[in-house]
Amino acid sequence: MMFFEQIISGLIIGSIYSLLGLGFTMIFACTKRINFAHGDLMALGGFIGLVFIQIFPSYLFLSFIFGPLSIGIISVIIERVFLRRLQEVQPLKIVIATIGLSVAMKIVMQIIWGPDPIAYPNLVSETPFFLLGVSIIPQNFLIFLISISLMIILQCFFIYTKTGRALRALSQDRYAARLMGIKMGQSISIIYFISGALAGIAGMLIAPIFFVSSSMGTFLGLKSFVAAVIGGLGSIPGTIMGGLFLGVVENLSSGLISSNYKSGISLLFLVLVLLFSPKGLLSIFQKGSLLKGRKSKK
Amino acid sequence: MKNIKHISPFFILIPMFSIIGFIPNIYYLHLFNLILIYSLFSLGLNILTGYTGITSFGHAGFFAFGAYATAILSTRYIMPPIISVFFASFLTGIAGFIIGLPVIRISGIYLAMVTLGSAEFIRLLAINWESLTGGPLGISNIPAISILGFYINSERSFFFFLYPILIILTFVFIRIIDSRFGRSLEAIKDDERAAESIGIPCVKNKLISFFISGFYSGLAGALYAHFDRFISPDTFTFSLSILVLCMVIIGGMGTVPGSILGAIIIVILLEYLQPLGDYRLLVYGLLLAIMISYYPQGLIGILKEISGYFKKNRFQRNN
Repeated sequence: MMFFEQIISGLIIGSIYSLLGLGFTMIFACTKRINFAHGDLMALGGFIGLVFIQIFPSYLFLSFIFGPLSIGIISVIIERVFLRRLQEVQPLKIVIATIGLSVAMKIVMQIIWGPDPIAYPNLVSETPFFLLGVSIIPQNFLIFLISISLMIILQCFFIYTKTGRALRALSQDRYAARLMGIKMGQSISIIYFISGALAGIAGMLIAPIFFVSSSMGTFLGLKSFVAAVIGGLGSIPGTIMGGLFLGVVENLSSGLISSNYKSGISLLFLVLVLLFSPKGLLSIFQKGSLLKGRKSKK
Repeated sequence: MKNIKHISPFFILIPMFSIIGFIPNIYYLHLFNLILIYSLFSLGLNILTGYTGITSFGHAGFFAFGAYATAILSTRYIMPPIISVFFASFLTGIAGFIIGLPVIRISGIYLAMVTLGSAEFIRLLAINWESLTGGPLGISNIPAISILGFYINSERSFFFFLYPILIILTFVFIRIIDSRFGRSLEAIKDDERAAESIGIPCVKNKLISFFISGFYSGLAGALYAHFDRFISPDTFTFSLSILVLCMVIIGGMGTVPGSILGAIIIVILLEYLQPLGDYRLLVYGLLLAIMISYYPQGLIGILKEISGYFKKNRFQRNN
């Protein structure tokens, strides 16, 4: 049973990785750049969610709507102010700039909310229930449920709505998409809004387990980026699979080998995947993906 | 004759700056020693990021590798520090070569992630391999470097030991950059496919550049270990990698004076923003974001622009 419990807790943390990794993937697919301040948006989401929970203590779902919305807006603002003017610069320079931004955001959060982790109120009851002999904490189950349903909604958004189709077109060929009358700036803002909102939800979901701290964004963000790369950066199903896979592998390895090397194992895994299948694990199984944005070189 | 032009500033600079070694204030001397060490370190990153165009987010790993290698060799295996320093930097060069091996398959941000991952892995090894590295407590009582029975244990003697090393290695660095090999690196940075098509062995040259980068960074780390006499995993975090990246970018990528200027500025900022504590990272983060988006050429680029402006004025006056 120990084994199954580890797999299940791996799936739960993995669903958070997927939620965050989706932000990396969508931004990469549509704008060909990587936003390393994404993890810190998640931490900010945790803090702002806490503020909203204190404002509406009796209506939790309201804070689950306003928190992510405000993070989405902040994400759009960051893109407008800092990243849009970097349009023509080398992609790696954008990475360096967003790393600078991420460091700055972390410190700003530290100044406002202090360096220590803040406990989060429990969203649902803590007594575990048993499913097929495995004890599951409702809180964790809620995380899994919400993130999986969000991913399904996102997938439907990209397949069935006009905006979603426009974004997919943008990710395939931005100039052709522009010729077809898709507004670049608006679409990029939508992408940043969605990814920011997802990061905000991820922050609010993970906070009751890990507590919110200004530094939690760095490593969760890094690992979800790793998850996105493992699954295939630019592909939504790939990222979801990659996140869940990474969560399970990490938990199993820390259970079976040693928990000391937990973060090292995921990075080692990243190196192996990059060496043997640079397009991500999913590309082994299928040719082509939903968001075909990835050119293999550069 | 071309070489004389490159060396000539050194004939003035070498005696001029060694005067610093005689200033009475030990605290300032300590800062200058730090600047010398970080200059070596940022030169090490510069050959990779500035000249070859490979961004590394994990140079703290090389620094840590060099520091731990010399600390372990000189404390556990009683190797004379002066030998272990160079042995350690050579080992770090080889480690850089191995970490750079994925260059065969991947490039850009993915390679940067590999360097970041390897740095994190080196740090985890330092924390967890307690029998060798002393675990989270680190290694203390690292012996001072001794040359011919003369111990280099004060700030002043360290300065006079470090200063010639930096001069020689900067000179070597300039020679490397000016060589056929160095120019091929810049060709790779500008356009890899074009470089490949005119017969430059890209992968080989990139790997050599990884080796040189590892050597310089490892040497800086090893010297740091004998300078501070104590190392622990807390020193070699991700923020050190960011710091050295700051030095290279603020100073100016792909210029030798830029690395040294960057090291000077960052070390001075580091000291004078001490009262801010951890919040000084805010300054670095913003500096990094602003410099990269507004002045990608760095301070050297700004200086060049200013001098170009004055030259233009004189030209206009003459006409």
